[in-house]
Amino acid sequence: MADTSGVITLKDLVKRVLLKADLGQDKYWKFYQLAIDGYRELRLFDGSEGLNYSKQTVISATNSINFPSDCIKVVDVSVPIDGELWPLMKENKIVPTTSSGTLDPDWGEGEDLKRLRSYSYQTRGVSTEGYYTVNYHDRTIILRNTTATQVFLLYKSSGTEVGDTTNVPIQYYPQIEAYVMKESTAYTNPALSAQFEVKYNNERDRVRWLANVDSAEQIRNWFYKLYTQMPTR
Amino acid sequence: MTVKEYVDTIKNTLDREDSTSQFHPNLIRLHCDFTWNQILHDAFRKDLSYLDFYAKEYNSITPTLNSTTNRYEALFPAPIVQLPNRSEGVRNLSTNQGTGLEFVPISEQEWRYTDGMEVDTVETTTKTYFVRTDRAIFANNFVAADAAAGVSMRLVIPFSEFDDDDELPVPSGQGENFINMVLARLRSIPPVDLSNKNN
Repeated sequence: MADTSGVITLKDLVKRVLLKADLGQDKYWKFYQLAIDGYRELRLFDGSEGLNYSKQTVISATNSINFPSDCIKVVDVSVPIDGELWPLMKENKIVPTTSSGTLDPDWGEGEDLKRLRSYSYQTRGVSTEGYYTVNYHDRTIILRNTTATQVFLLYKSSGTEVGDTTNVPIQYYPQIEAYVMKESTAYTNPALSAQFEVKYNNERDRVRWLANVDSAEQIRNWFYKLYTQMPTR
Repeated sequence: MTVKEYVDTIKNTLDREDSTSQFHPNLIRLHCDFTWNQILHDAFRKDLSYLDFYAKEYNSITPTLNSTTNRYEALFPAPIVQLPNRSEGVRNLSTNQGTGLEFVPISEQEWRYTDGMEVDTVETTTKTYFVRTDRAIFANNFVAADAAAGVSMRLVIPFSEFDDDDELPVPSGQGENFINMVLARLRSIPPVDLSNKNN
């Protein structure tokens, strides 16, 4: 016999909160919005499952990529080399502007940085495959020193799918429930809201320190990677 | 007890001497109507979910499109009791065979506030409605096919909507209270002035 599912839809999560609190259907719409807010908070600040990879095509006219619409925070930009992700270096000194959608070299727009593009004893930093800077206002990432036509973007997403079924890991249910109850009572019953705030913070700790910790096997492998195999004599 | 038995009991508890017929059964029914709403409100205001038992089911109601507002509306087949939440006297609204959470009540204010919010774009299956005195107006996700399929409603109806031989589902422990409240209302009516001032 199979166990119950490891995920719960956001819709069922809202229904479960209403069922548990013995509340009527008239709270459903408001609670659904609060659950979306709570899940986004959790993904952004607490849970590890909030990361998404996406392949983004470089816009040649501006040598940049646009944020996916669900992007909350950019984590990393990388290019593929021999099956591995090679991260680009973040460099905030890149000239971030464009001149009416094109690059004007007189202003340094689109200019490659004068950095050594080779791997040797002189190379500093972890990667010289290119550089990027983030323009959160325009929701673009500006690239330099790379000829890649596509790059990988690692980002935190809102996590809520538009017009589809959003699956939430079941272990996140208590934190989202506490968030919904905390926010729904914040203005009408501050004392009750304060109690839910305590529960919310407890659940945050559990998600942060327990749910996100690597397994013992993963930690063991991490140590093994530090050692060099000795020849058997 | 049936509705008629309640009315008769109240009538028989009043003073026998009623030469002016001021306690006509229709007047008693009218006061029962006021009292019934009050009894339901007092008994269930803290937890309206228990009202499901007191709701009457109406099936195969066909919503129609209001050409002015471009929204679908379903007229109530009977008046509803006003209750302190967004669904008022509509305990449940679903498709005729529906079992899940297909329709949810919403206030018009919430509907306007959430227009364009995430919930408006993410929740594309559950339909919302807001309640007016005589109809339910469908807000989100309601389409022509839903209207063609028809809807089912469970309504909490006023005393006057029960037939004489209908069993009146008086909330547990409220039977005596109901009768006493009606009697108190009736006894507070001043007697008819029979003195002949012309003599």
